[in-house]
Amino acid sequence: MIWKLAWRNLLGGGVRTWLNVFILSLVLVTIIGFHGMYTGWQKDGENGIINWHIAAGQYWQQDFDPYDSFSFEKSWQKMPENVPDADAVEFLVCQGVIYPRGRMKNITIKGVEEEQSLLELPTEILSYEPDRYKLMLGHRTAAKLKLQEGDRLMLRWRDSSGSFDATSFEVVKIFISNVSSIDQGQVWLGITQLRQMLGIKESVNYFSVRQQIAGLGEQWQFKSQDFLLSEFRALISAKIAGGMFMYALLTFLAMIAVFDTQVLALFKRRKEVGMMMAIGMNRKQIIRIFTLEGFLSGVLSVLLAAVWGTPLLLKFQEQGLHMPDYMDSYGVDGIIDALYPQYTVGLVIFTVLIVLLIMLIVSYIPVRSISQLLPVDALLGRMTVKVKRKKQYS
Amino acid sequence: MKTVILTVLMILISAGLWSETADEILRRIDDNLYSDSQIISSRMVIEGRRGSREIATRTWSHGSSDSFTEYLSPPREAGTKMLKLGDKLWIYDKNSDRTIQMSGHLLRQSVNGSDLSYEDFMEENIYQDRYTAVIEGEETLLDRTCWVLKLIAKEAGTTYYQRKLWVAKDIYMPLKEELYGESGTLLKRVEFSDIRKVKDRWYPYEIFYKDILNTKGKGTTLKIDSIDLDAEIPECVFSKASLRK
Repeated sequence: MIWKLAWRNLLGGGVRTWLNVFILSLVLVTIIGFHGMYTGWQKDGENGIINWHIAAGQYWQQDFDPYDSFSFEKSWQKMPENVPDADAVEFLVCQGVIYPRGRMKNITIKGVEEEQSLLELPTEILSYEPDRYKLMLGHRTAAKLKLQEGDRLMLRWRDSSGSFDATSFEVVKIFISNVSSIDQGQVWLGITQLRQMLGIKESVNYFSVRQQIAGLGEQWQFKSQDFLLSEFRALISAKIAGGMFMYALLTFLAMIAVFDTQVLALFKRRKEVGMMMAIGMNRKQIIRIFTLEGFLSGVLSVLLAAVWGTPLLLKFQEQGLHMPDYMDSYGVDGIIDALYPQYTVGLVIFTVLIVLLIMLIVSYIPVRSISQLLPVDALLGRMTVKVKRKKQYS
Repeated sequence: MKTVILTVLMILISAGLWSETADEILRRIDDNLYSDSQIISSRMVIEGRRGSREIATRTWSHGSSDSFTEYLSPPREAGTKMLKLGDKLWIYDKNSDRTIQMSGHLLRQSVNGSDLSYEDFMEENIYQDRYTAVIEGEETLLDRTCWVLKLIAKEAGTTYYQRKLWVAKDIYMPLKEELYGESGTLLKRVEFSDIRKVKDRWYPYEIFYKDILNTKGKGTTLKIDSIDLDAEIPECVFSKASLRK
């Protein structure tokens, strides 16, 4: 009976009810939409980093530090022999200088194994050809340097013994990847070519593997996917934490709306409360009715959100959120030109439950005062509570 | 048969003579340019796209491995000091009161936006120790007859694998130099002018550097105001402590 009564009262609220329900549904869809965006960004970014660069993990020469260019040369070491060719992709790193359009720019030169099937990097195009110097760039670097496929670029380097040399390279490929860490500030060469330029044989700084390999010795340290993805995950976590502030603000506004509605409803319907008391309903039952009304408005908002939000969010997922051009140059992994949100069942259920729980609490708090209402005062339309009345009599 | 043997002998003898002459030329160039110690006051004029800048410095050198440079002007650069000891280079920045050791990619940076990199400063400058020379021919340059010398590095690790020198025959002074990588790519061009007699040797008072790969730059000129060859320099100048003095 209480459920039926609460439902009827809720619908009787008319525009006020529907306005609340709509606002709540808006909050719900916004939170799911935004959170889905971060989830999509994280998944795209992680997949990109795994597929384009790290595979199941990497082995770094013990002195290698990708953020310390001083470590590059001292960590050139011969590739361990017990690593199957098909299960690893070799990388060799050094510093150099490029001269795009006559200007000088320091750059990291990366040599990558040409014949590999483990990563999505289009390395085959870098296969060694005597007297043809080939180079590959990411689309961000290419855009920054205003280079296109077929252009030539002067590259200067120092070989392993310290002599300068330079030659003109042909840009044979500009690859488009959502992984900025394999793009910005670096150029890619075939590892055979780079070894020849540096005058070193079989050396690498690190290699990506299909699976962890035992017995490589202390000179090769395994870096797991979790380790290699930790920076990107930390970035997303920081973004989500920032987003939480917005979710909290939206939820707070919705809470205020419901709270306000409840207080107003209680004031307008005080005679009705008195009547309920007069026909024998106890205070707990009356509080339950009012709380249920608030909670049901939450349920209605979930339904309404499902009706208009589902097609909208699915469309958003399909088309993605297009980013302005400058975003690409920020060097954030996981984004090329658009963000494609991903909504998980867990995310939707969690958000719905949180909103319903908040609605339940916010609906209950204002109606607690009913427990102190005197039936006669209520019937007369007065909001006097027990405590005041007692003082008056004394 | 006799004629053939004589011809071969003549060729071998002449090749040997040429080779000896080329080495002799290198020795004479080193005698001109290299001194046990020197104190030089100079100005570096850097020609950029937005006009030129001038940086005045005073340099104390000991042999070819140790040198100490102090920037005198402009005011923004004045007080900056640079110390080279063997293959190590430190820079003291007076604004931040910090000393930085230059290594790795920092050495590849250009010095104050000039056509010289810190690596160029690090280079040992005695030709005959590092290069084998061959006379390629003769040319006239700046109204002087010059030998054209091709220099190939004796050992791996020499900064520039190949050099081409135009050496004035009368004063054993290079007038022009081209620096190449091992692949034969021309990397830098250096021109020597305003050659004056200092004590018993010739010395260029103006040296023009051009990074050939950096086509946007217009080159850098080093103008020497004064030079004191074989000067007595206390050892304490070439120490890290002198950077903060």
